[in-house]
Amino acid sequence: MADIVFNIAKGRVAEFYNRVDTNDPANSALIVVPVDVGGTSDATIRDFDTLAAVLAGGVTERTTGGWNRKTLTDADLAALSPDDANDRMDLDIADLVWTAVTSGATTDLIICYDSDTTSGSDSNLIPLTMHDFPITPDGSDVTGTVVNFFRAS
Amino acid sequence: MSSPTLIASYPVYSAGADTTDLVSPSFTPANGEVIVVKLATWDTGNPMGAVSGGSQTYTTRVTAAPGGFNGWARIVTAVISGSPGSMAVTGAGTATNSRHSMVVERWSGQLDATPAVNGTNSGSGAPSANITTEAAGSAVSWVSVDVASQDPASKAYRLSATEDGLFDGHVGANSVHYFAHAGSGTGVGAAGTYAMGMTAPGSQTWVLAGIEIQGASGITQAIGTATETDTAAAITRTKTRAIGTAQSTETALPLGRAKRRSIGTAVEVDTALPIIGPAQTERTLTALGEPRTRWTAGPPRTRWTAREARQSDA
Repeated sequence: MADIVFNIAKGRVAEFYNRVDTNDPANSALIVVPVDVGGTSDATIRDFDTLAAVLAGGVTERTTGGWNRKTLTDADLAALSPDDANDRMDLDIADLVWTAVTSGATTDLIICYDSDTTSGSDSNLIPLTMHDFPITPDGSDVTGTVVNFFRAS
Repeated sequence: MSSPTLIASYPVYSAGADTTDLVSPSFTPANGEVIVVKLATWDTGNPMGAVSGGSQTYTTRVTAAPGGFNGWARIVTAVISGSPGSMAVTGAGTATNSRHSMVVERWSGQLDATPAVNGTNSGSGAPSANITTEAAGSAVSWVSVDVASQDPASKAYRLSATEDGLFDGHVGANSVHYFAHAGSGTGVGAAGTYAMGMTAPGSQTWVLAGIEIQGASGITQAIGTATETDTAAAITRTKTRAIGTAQSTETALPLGRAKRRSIGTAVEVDTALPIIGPAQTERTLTALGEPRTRWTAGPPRTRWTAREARQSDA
């Protein structure tokens, strides 16, 4: 497994991030989803165009035992800033913490774009990236440390 | 709770007795890393200044400055936040010329809100300062200064510690600064009291500052970077161009008169005509009413036979 960019999001991740950061639209957000991909391969997963399709394709979302989705709004994101020194665009988010996670092993985190968190469904969430996140909970806090979750170069 | 692990350490020393700032090499820490900055000078009354770098918040945890003829030691910490990227740590120099040194340690682990530090912080002989750790599996880290400038050749650290810096100024009695840590990856043991310092060399005049670094509670997993390489494809250039009007300027030049001409071949066809006899000619002319010409001379008269004459007349 690897850290991947979904095909539907290629060439678009930075702009989705920017739209959330600039509140355009107002209720847009990045959604972080802890999952267990089971036997579904990266090659298969990167072809899915919505979170609903991902979850219907053999990937199991973790929603109990302390796991939940993280919603990152404009207040949680830094302004888009190209790395001109290194000729690339890096995107960062703050570290992710799940408190006292008791059950539900994960393999990955999926970061999605939601244009409107007040309505819609998983069919409206565009999966952007997926990251290795192998965790076997033991009741303690789980922290995902992030330096940059995406880089376009 | 896992034990803390030393990620890297960076020793920096003054070149001599001066007031220079000490700056670590650049590094890129992850959020949550514990930064332990260990500082030392040869003069208890001439401390180093503030620690800075990476827009982080640095907190002084313990200082050994007993006064008198002693060195000076301090431990300052920070917990990385805000994804600072590449950063360096600077320890401001002393107010007046001094031998001074710094070691920056990066730990994966955590600090208690009030980390345990040593109580006794100076003495004579082989350094020994107790610290009472608050959690099982913790590591400890310390710095000591010997202004008696004993030769460190025989150095031996307590707790089977690992040395991560040594300022050796024993030649010339310029002080010796020792930097060490114990328990990385394994911990020094259960929560309890442990002696930091050295068992050799003895006869030191020492100060010591030490601190406990705890293992991180919970599970920490670094999230990797999903990368995308964008390629701008070359644009095919069309070769369509307007075709301009080809212009030519034509000038009728005067014709040069040819001075050569072909000279036709005068052809002469020579035909041997039958010789008309004067008799016939004479008769013809007579028939045309031409005045009869009397031939006075001519070619030799052909003698016609009667038959030839009749044929000719016919």
